Amino acid sequence: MRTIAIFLSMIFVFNSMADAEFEQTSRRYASNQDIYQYLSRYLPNYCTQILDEDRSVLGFDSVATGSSISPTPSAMTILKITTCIRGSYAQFVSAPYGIASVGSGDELFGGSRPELYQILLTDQKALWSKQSPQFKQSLIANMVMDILGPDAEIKDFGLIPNVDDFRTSLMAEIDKNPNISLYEALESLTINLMTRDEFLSY
Amino acid sequence: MKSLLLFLLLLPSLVMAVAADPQTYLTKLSKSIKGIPPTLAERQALEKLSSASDIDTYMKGRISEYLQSPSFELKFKDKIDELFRFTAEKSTESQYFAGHSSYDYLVQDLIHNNQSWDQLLLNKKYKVNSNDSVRYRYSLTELDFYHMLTNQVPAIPDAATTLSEQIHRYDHGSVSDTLLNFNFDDSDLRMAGVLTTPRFLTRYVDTALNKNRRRASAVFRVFLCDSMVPAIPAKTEDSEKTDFNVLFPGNNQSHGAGMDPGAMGNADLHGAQADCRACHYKLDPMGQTFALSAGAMSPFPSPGALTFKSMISLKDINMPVAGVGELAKNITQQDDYVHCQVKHFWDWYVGTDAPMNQKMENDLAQKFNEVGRRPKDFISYLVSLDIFKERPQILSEAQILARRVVPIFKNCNSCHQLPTKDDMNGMDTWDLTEMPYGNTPEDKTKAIRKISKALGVGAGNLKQKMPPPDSTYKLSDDDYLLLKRWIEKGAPDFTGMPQVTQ
Repeated sequence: MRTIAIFLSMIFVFNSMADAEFEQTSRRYASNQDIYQYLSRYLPNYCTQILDEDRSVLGFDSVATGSSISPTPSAMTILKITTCIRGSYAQFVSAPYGIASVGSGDELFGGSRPELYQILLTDQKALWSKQSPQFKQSLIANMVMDILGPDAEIKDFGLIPNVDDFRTSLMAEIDKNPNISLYEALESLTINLMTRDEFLSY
Repeated sequence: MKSLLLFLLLLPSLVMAVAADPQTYLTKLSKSIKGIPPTLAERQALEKLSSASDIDTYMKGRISEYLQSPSFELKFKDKIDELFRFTAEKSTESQYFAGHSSYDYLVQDLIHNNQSWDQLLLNKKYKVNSNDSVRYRYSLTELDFYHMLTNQVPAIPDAATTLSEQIHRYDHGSVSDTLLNFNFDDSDLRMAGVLTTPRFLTRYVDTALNKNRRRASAVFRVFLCDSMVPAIPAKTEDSEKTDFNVLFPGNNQSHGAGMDPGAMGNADLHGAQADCRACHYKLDPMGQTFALSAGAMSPFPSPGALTFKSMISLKDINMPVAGVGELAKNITQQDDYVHCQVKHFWDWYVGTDAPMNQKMENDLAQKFNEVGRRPKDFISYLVSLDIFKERPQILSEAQILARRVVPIFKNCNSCHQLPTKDDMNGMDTWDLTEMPYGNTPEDKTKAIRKISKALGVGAGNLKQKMPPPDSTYKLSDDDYLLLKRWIEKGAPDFTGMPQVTQ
C-alpha cells in the first residue's frame, strides 16, 4: 500500500506519462507488441503470463482487422506494466538476468551494475533512509541511465530539460517517507521510469 | 511590430527538422530493429567518439550487427506474422502452428539468410517438422499435406535434416525435432511460398460461399496493398435510401418497404452490381487458382488470372495463369507489388504517419530493387535516412493536418498525377502529395479552390464531384471531414504555412 501511495504521488509530481503528441513526428510510441517484448525481457516469466492473457485489451494487433484497437499505450497498458512490475519485482532484482545478478546479460538490461543492488538480495527490508546519500544517488542515476538512457538522450526527448534536477526531485520524493524500504523505493522508481514516454517510445 | 509578431507566431513552423543526438539515434536504432535499448557498453563507446565520420562508421556497424541479431529476427518475424494476420491466438490450431510450421521455417529462412522478399511467394522448398503429431485440420498433419503433393516422400531419418541452429534459436532450444525437406521444382505451378502452406490455407478458409475469395483478398492486401474495403458508397444525409438503392436496385419505395428477396429473382445481385464488381472482378479469377484446395491442397494446378487495375501505370492488368505458382511469380513482377512492399517497410521502420510523397515512394521502390529486394539491406537503407534520424519534434496542428491529408491525396494521384492515359485529356494533373501547390500565392490559392470545388466543400459535399461516381475509390466521411477541416484552415503545407492567403 505504501508503494502504491508513493507511486501515485510520483505520478502527480513528475507527470510520468506526458500528453505529448507524437503522431506525425520522427518519434513514436513503441507498439504494444514491442512493450510486451520489453517487459518479457526485462521481467521474464511473470509479465509474459499476465500480458498474454490480455492481448486484445492491451491493444495488440487484431487478427481480424490487422490493426490495434489502441495504437498508443493505453491506460490499461500502463496499469498492466505497473501490476507486472509490482508482481515480479523480485525477479527483476534477482534471477535470471535481474539487476542484482552478477554478470547479468548486457542485452537484457543495458548497464547493469550488480554490486549496487547486492543489498537487495541479502536484506530486502533495508530502509532507504539508512543508505548513504552517495549510494542513493548512484542507484537513482543508474536506474535513470538504464531505463531512460544517457542525459543527452533524455534532454533530446524534450520533456526533462534538466536531468540533474529530475534525479534530485526523484530522490527528494522518496526521501519524504522515512519508513520506505530500499526495495520499495526501487520498485516505485522502476514503475515511474518505465511508464515514462522516454521509455515507451523511440 | 506586426511583422515581428507574425514572424514569432510562425517561428515554430519554420523550424526545420534537426538530426537527433547520436545517443537518441542509437536508442532508436536499437529499439526499432531489435526491440530493446542499446547496452551500456554501446552507449559508452559512442560517447567516446567525437568526429562525425567516426560516429557514422560506428552507427553503420551497429545497424549491421543489429540486423544479424536473434532479437531482430524475432521481431521481424512478428511483423510478418502480423502482416498475414497470423498473430498467435488462444486456440489449439495456433498453438500447433506457433513457431513450428512450414510457414514459420520458410519465413525464418528468408529473414536469417536475407533472401529476396519475393521468396515469400516464390519459395517452393518447405521444411516440415517430422514430429508433428498434432492434427491441424481434418485430422491432417503438415506431413500429410505435403506427402499428398509429391511422390518423392522423404524417408525418415535418411532424408531428415537435423534441426538447424537458427531453428533452435527461434524455439529457444526447446525443440529437438528433425525437419523433413519437401523440395518442389521451381516451375511447379501448384506451389507458391507462403500461399501454399497449411498456415495460410487454414487461416483463410475456403467455404462454399466465399469460393476462395478470402484467400485472394489476403493476397491482394498483403502483396498489392489493395485492402478490398467494401465499395458501397459512403453515407450521406440520405444514406439509407442511397445504400438501399445500391443493394436493391429497382425498388423505388422507402427503405424496408417491399423488401422481399424472393421478388428479386435468382440474380446474384451482390456479385452483379458495379460497386460489388469493383472487387469481384479481381477476387474471383485469383480465387480460382486456389480451387479444390480446402484443408489439403489439390494435387493439380488450378488456372485463374491476375486481374486488377495498376495504381502505378493505371493500366488494366489481366494475366491468365495456369496455377497459383504462376500467379505468385506474376505478382512479384508488378510495380504495384514493389511499391506495396516498400510501403510495408516504410510503415514498420519510418512510421505509418511519416509523410512519403510520390517521388520518395518511387525512389524507394527503385532502391528496393537495387538491393535485390533483400529485407536487411532495405531496412539498413531506411534507418539511415534523415527522416529516421530527425530529432523528435512536436508539430503544430496545421503541420499535422497537412501530413494527414497526404494519404488521401495519394488515391487522387492515381489518376491526376499521370497525364498519359488517353481518356485523361484535359484532366488537371499534378502531384497532390507534394506541397505547396505552386510558387506564387495566386497559384496556391487557385489550386486549393479547385480542390475545394471538386469536393463540394461549402455545400456539405452535396456537390461533390471527386472522386467521380464511377471510381472504385470512395471518400469516407472521416476523410471528407478531414479534407474540409484542412481547407477551412487555409490548406496548410508541411511547414504549417497556409496556402490560401487571398
